[in-house]
Amino acid sequence: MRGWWWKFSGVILLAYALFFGLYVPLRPAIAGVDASGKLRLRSGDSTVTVNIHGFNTFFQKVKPLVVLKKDSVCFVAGAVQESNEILQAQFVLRLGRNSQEHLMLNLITWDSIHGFMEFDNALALEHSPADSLGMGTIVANPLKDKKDIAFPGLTFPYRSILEETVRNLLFHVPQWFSMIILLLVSAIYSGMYLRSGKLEHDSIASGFTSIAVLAGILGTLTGSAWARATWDAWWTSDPKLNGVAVGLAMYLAYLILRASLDDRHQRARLAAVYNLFVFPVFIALIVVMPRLSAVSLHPGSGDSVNFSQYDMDNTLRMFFYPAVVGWTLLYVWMASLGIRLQKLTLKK
Amino acid sequence: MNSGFNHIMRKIMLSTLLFLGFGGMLKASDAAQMLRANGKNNAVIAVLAIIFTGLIVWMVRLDRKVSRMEQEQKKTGPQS
Repeated sequence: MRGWWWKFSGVILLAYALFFGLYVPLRPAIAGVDASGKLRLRSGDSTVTVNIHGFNTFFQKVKPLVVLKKDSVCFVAGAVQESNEILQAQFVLRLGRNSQEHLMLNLITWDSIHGFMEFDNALALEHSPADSLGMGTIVANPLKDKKDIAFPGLTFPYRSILEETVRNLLFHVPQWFSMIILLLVSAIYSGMYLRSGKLEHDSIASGFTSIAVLAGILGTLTGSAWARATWDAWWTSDPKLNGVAVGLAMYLAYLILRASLDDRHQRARLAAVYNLFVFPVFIALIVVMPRLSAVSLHPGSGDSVNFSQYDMDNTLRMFFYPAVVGWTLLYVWMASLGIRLQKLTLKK
Repeated sequence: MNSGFNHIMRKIMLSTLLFLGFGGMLKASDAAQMLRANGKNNAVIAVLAIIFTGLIVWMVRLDRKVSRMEQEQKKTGPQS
């Protein structure tokens, strides 16, 4: 049973990523705020009720401190909870004659379970100071510096739009990482074939490429399902998607080219040259071009923020890199089965 | 062949146990146990189903290739 350790480590890493990828809950967050429309207020006291919609929150267990705040303006609410997901906060907004006419307030809640949760630009106030002569006071800012209280236990970050689908990072993205690794190995073996002329090198290259194409197809389909839930379309004209469509077509052409040639040596030589030519083009299409393009929905390309800077967090990293290694090992295992089978047919 | 199979099974059992151990290690907080399912869970399920289907389709193709080879060997007789 020698030579099995890497196969089992791949399976264990995949099981680890799959289990925790589904088991770990999302961190509580404010998903939305009601009554966020413009409110016209007079100077003096006015009462405003704000509905705060929580995601995975436990409002019934705590009495959060709710604050509307912008720069030095700060209002503290008397909070009333309706349920775990909805928190009603009543604010007495006291505006002085000198306060700004338009005020965009950020909402911040704090309690011992959730720590700080923030929702920017929750409330837009329009103030008409001419109506009244009442002088308001501005409450002093109780939250001077933001101290993040870590939520107990293992949690994934909440991202609006992504929500629970942030887990797909562990399933969709490793397909592309392992695909590129497999294609790199394939290109290296194609180069080795051109130097050595050994048919064995050619069959290794073709075995890796066909599994890489499988990973690419799975990556495209899973990406499409993910896009339906988050970007509201199965397919968009994102530069990464178009690049991948062309790149996959080039590699499908590689497989068809191989299948259409009968002479083993001619097939091996042509395929090796084609493979070495296609690999840099593929990398340019799916990595370089999206990065250079002006607009992109994918993180880390075009105008969007890099995934590791914004969407990733350390909890996701704990499972993302093992998932990449696990998928790569599984695909190498699958490729090796195909290569061994090809070797058996070549012997005859 | 049989002992080899047993060996694999033993390894699988061992890794399953290890894997279950990981679950125990996670100190699930009160909050974690009360995970409420909402927010686009379907997309996660769809992604996993697609990957699972892809792997099964690949397995079926490999199986068919192997059976084709077996049939050819039956016709020509064992080579080695």
